[in-house]
Amino acid sequence: MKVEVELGGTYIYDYGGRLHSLDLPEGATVENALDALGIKERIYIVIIRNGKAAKPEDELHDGDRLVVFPPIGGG
Amino acid sequence: MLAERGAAVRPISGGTDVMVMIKDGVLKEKELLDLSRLEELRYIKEDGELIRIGARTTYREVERSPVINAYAPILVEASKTIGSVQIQNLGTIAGNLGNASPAADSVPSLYVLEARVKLASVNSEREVGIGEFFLGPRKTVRRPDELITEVSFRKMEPGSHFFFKKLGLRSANAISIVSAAGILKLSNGKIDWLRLALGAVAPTVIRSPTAEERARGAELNEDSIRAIAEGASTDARPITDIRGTAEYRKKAVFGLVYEALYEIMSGSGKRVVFGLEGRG
Amino acid sequence: MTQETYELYRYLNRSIPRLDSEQKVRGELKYLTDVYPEGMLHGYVLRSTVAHARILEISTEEAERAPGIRAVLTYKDIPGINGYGAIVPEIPVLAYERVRYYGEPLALIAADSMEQAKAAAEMIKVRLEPLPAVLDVDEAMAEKVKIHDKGNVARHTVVKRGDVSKAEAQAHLVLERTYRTPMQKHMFIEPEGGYAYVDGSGVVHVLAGGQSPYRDKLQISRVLGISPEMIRVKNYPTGGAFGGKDDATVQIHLALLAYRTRKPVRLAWTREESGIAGYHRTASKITIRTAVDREGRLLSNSAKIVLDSGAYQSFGPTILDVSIETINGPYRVPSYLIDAYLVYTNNGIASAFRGFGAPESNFAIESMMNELAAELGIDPVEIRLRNILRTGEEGPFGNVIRNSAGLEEALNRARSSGIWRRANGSGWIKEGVGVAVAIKGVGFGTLPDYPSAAVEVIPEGKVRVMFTNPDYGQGVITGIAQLAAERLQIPVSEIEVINADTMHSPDTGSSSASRTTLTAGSAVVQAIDEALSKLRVEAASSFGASSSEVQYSGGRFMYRDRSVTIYELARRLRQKGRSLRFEATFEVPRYPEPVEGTLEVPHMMYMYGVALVRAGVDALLGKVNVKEVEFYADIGNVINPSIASGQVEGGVVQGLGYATIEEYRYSDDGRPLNINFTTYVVPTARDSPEMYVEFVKSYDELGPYGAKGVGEIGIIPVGAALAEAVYRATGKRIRDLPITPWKLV
Repeated sequence: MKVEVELGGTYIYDYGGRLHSLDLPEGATVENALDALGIKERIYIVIIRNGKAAKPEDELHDGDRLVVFPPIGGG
Repeated sequence: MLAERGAAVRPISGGTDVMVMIKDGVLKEKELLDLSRLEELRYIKEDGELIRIGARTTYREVERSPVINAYAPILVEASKTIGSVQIQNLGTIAGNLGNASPAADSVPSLYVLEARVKLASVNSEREVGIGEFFLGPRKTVRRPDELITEVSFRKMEPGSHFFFKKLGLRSANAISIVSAAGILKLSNGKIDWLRLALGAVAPTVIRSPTAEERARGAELNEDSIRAIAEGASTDARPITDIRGTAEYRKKAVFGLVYEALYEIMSGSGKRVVFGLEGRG
Repeated sequence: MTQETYELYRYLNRSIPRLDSEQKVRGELKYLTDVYPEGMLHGYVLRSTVAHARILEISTEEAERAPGIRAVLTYKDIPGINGYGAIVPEIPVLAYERVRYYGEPLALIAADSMEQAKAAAEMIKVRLEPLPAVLDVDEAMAEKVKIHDKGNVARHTVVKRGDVSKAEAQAHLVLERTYRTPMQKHMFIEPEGGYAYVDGSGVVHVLAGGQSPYRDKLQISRVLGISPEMIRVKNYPTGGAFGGKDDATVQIHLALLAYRTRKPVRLAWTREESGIAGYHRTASKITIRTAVDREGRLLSNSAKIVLDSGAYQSFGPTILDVSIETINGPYRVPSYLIDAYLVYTNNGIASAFRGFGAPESNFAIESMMNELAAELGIDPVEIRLRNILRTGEEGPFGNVIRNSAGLEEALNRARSSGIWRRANGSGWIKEGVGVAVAIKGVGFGTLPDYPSAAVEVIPEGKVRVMFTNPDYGQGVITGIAQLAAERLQIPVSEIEVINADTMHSPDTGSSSASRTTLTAGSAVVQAIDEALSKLRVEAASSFGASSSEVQYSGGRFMYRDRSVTIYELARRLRQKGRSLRFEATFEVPRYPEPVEGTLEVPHMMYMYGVALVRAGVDALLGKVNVKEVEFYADIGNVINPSIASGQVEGGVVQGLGYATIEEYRYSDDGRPLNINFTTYVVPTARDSPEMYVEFVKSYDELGPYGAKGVGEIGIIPVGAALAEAVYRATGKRIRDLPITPWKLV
């Protein structure tokens, strides 16, 4: 299945750009998507799936859109 | 208590300085002697040509006293500038003396009033002139077994001009960067005498002999004002600290004295009028 | 909703009193440092008394055996990561190997009494090998003494467009100036503090003043090494913050002590501790070179921005971003080159402070605009009108200006103000009037931002609104309650707000970046729409009608001659066992891609302000006396004019303090010098000038009911406007704040 991931904040610089298309096996979770991108952080991280807060253990579906970023806050 | 272990005891009244020192951990004494209920030291008395102020009298009481307003209005001016109303309600002139800060705002006025400070112990009493009372920052001639009981001074001369000017970084609750108090006697546009004291420009409040000397017999005009103010600036020996540099303080002394004398010259300064304070 | 419906609002554009003001005035509201839980321990922090050192030894054995001591913790006792910081977790929770600022925490103590805690602190054996303290950014950049092994530049970035040297070659005038701004302390009335406890199910509760409960929760989780689900953070009420409580202060230490002792612990910094160890605003040194044509139109702008981050970064990288975004002002700048540095020193920790990065850069660009106007003989308002971006134009960072009418209107109001004619000093008092313009992004720019909020309809006749942006005195709960009342068309008295508690509300993010009206406001409106659409279905089915036939007005659904209130519907839902709680997540509109070299530039929504300052200067004493300030602002639709004006006025006074008397300072060996209200002087009510605040009519369709934000706009342009007033009065240009008397005589 295909999942679109948008990275934000410092992750854009740390993990190779803002937009990523992932091809993941059926039954994959958010965690698998993070692994595929090389993101190790599991606590200090905000994950938005289709516009709503999600957790690493949540299962993904084809066409899901993830936005992943550190909860930094700016001004 | 003071007689027994005076060196370890700090007398406290309003506590507006002592409490800050305790909080900062800089108070040397281990014990406090609370004077706040000593009602017998709370008075303002007329005694012939003298005014006597008890050690427990607050700035607020000084400000509101008809006697002080009539005969020593310079002290009213000074008291009004001290801290905030809350501090004026608690703080006392004796406390300002005992604390011996070179920036104390009631002290320059007491210098030009040529006040005397009464010190009492269990079995003795003595009086010292204000100029001899202070030895340096936080240092006075008060012995550990003594208490400040009274401040006295002669009534101001009717018609004399006076000022108290204070420069702080803000309008309320500000510690003076510099201050100046002066009493001036004019006859026919000439200065009979000037007494000028400066705060926060030396280890203690000081009188300015150069300014006073230059004033004696001089016409009150822009040239003499400038010369007198320059004299005051010369006599100032300030330090640099968080509230201002030494160089600036010398300039500010000039400015304060110049402005004060200019106001007197132009008729907007204050004058002593017995019975009520008025403008000259 | 459009601008035309402006006058039809029932609960907006109204100055209702703050919902918590009566409690506050009566002294009934308990701040979190007012709470002394039953059976609590006293928390205490042992701090470094040198600015820079290698740690040779911290031994706690003797202290642990002291009477009444329940815990003594050092870096060895941290279960998870020994690091925190809003952006990079590089700030040690407890010092490890090195001490990098005076006041850095070395050990934590929990004891039965404060006296016992302090006595035990004396018994901790600390051996430090002192290193030279680096207090100046230029010295730090020389890298002779390294504060961090990686070097003293925390971040360096270059942001550019066009060919600056070509523009300068064609220019009529090129000016280069260096401007400096000082470190500023927040001086909130309630110092950092609160309490914590662990409940029967093992959840760690941390109730402390703060600005970002969910970020606090994640930071605690990382340090404790336990799941965020096992942590609750509550930040309401907080007695002032101004950014100083945005990153963690006592929260992590509290959690560590409660987690270790399993007892309630109170930890509250004294005023002096807040002065020593609390955060402060970055000091800045900005060299700016600006090229203009004969008419004063900007051709290029180059800037070298150096911000003093102190010992660690906290919000440093985003502060640097805001300074970059602000350095071009609200102007048309065809080419620019911005070279920006965030530099480590041993000066405490710089962090968020109202407008972070913006007052710093604003002082540089707006002073420059005033200097250019004077050089060219152009009126200072006119030079700005010639350069501001108009609607539809592309801004310097690729952002399209959606609505600039407010700024132009504000400048026109400023130009026709009577204040220009009121400058009339005499004798040694010289007077002048100065102007400066401010622009400030609302929210986090291109950083993704998904604030969530919840509403619950209570059958007994209340609608509970839950969001986590803390109200630390800005009036957030009142403004959001007004928005909720407007959406629901019910009186504000029927709205009940639960604020800043992770136990009750989903994550709305922090109170910062003037974002709360936009984020909490939009998320609450969306949650209400969710609630109303569910209730509408319920109402329709009870009427035997279709949803589209049902009308909603004033808290009730209507169909022909029948009606039912939302509360009656909630009662029915409750009987059916259905949830009465509705949540929504708002996606804050943003440009997708940050400008190269930045994390969050540009923003999509901007506030604008124009400050006019009339000041008198005593030419003999150098003392500045600010007589009058007029402030024209575009903050979008105004929800509560009185609270919004209060925010601007408060910002202006804080800006005047910053511009005249405030300056947080360190001794030559890195010890903070002014750490309480006696030595760090802030303006009082008596120093406040006459103030006139006017909000120009404005409506931003991206915000809830056209609202934008307000918190930061007041402080930003004050420094430059005052410096110009002083110049007009005395002929002296002051390029380093604060404008102390000794700079003028």
